[in-house]
Amino acid sequence: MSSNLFVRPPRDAFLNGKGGSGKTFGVVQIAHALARRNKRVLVVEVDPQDDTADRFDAGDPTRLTMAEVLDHHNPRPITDAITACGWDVPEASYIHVAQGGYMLEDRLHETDKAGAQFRLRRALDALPADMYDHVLLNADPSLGHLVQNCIAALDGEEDRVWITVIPERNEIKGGLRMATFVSNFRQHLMVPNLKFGGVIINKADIRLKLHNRYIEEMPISFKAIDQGAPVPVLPHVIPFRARLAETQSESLPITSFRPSEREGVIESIDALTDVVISRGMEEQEESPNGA
Amino acid sequence: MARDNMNVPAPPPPQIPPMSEPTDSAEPPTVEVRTEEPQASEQLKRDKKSGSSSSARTRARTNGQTSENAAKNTAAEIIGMLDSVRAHHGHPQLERSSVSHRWPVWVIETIGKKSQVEKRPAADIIAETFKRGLAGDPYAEYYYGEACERVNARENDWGSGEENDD
Repeated sequence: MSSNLFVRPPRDAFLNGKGGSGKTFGVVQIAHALARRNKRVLVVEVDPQDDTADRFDAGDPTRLTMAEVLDHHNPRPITDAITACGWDVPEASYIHVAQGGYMLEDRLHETDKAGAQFRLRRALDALPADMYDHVLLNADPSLGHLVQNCIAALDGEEDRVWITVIPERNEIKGGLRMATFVSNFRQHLMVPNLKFGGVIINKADIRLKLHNRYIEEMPISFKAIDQGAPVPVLPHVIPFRARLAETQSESLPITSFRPSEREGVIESIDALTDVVISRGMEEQEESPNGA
Repeated sequence: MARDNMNVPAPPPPQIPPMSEPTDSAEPPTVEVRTEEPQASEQLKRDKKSGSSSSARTRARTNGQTSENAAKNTAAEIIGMLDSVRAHHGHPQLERSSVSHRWPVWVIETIGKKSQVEKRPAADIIAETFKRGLAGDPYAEYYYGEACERVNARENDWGSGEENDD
């Protein structure tokens, strides 16, 4: 157990075994929404793909990366990997990014080292407890070592797992697999009481019958996963908006787009952020499509 | 949580912590070698200090005038990747057998993206990168040949619009 368990900020991991399911999008948007409320946020990149710093325009080659922070032989403090958000908005100063890097791949070769699955927990435990209000973890799309590090780092009572999905078959399968994995193996990662915050649906195109059908069925699918308590599917669905692809390619905050281009998106993200702040839903209140 | 109460004043933004002192270690360092291109990091620092609306990297996507800075940044990135791989694996023959399936993907993706952004042939970027970072290196020819070969193979995929995930 960490020594500062009762005062440190809550940690949230955004997971799905399938790539392209909106993990990074969710992390970035919720971090931004928290910052708009003057919450101090640290986003920790644990994916070798390393898109998070790019989205926040935050990469700094003069500082280290999470690859060195998680190094078994000579781990460096996580503070050495922290970089500033480069967005030109006032709330950017409330967002820090512990930058990733492709060298995180090399940590996969150290899985046989003693305590390897707890490297991220140790690194985060060393953060000054009052430095941030929220710590968000962006994991790689797998069930592998880096994801297990993320799960093992969620050892606080307020820590949560969030499953991100887009309403399509493979992404839902990946989400279900991840939820099952967390349910079955959390005790092995020394977090037996770890709770799910919920399932976040994003990029939903309500013009598509397929999306509507999957959104309707998802609560039933996820209900059977978590032994004892169903994984709630959050009703605040983030709608698909074509122009928002540019938030990724141009490293821009969503608020820089015209309201017509981001219609319904910020509202959904703000509602989801309320759920994140309240540490998830106690029980499912309604189905995502309001049925 | 007390800070969720709207009556509580917002805390000041967090500050970027200073870097820690390096620790002595008998183990070989695994830090990425990214410091061989000082112009790149200095440019980034200047951008941050000047309160620019976005970094050179972002501007390069929307404004061709800054593509030179983006070129320097990406060249430094590629050099860092190559040097890290060399530091870890030491010998090119070892690399060919053990990691050649892995490292070129990252390097080549970067070169490919840079080539697309700047609308320049990938071979020019590779040549520029190697000239910058591997001058006098006995293995430079090996890397150059390997990189050109692989980028050429990948360019066929990009041209057809198909993804190759290796």
